[in-house]
Amino acid sequence: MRKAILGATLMAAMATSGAVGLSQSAVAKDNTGAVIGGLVAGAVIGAAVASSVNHPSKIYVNPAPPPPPRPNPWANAFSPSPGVTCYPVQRACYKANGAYAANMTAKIFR
Amino acid sequence: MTNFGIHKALIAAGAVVGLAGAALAQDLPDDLRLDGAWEDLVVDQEPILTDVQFAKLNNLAFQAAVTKICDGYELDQAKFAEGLSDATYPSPATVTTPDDMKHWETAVYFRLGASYGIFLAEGNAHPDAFCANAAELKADAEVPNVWR
Repeated sequence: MRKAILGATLMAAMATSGAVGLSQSAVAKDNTGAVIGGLVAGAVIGAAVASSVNHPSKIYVNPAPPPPPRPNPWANAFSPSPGVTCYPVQRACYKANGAYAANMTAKIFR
Repeated sequence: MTNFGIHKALIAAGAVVGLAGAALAQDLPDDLRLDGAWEDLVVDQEPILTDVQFAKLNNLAFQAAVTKICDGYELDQAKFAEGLSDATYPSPATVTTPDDMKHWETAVYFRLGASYGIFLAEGNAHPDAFCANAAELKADAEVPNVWR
């Protein structure tokens, strides 16, 4: 509520400063009612603007769709002999114990 | 190649070891290979070498890693240099100028170092299997190695 009052005061001040310039000519035309009406309108608008401070400031945009998954690079793996798996993309062979097999690599990729 | 050259080639591995370690959790229990790390390294690899040359470079990187993980292994600097020359000759036809050659050599050293790093990670994670296969290579008369 304090923000609303502040906003109203601010708008009123702006309206007043604008009215100062007009007041000299306004005196001659006696537009006092219009000036007061402007002040009231400014206060209402200021309150509305100030209350909008509480609105969410972040704008959420739907994220871009994830890129399609890369093809499996190991899809062409093959087994030249029991217990050995070779991966052409890596140019490497592994044994059934899970570790790199340098001698099989040398024999297969030559 | 001088010792300095070899160390220069392998020093790039340091950055890769952490990366490879992070991929460890993705592995299946019966697969000690760091699939994710290898995928990141090789899938987008430019064809700086032929398939056979890449395989030879893998073996050099593996053997270098073995000397760090398994007892009783030491690199023979002369054999390693000869092996690296063998693995990288000839250079691609697209390498025509001294600048091209410099860039290509850098790319080869980087790849060697990166592979070395992943092998270090694999070997340290499962040294028994890793060293058992190193012993098998050492005993294989058909495949030369670069150890002393």
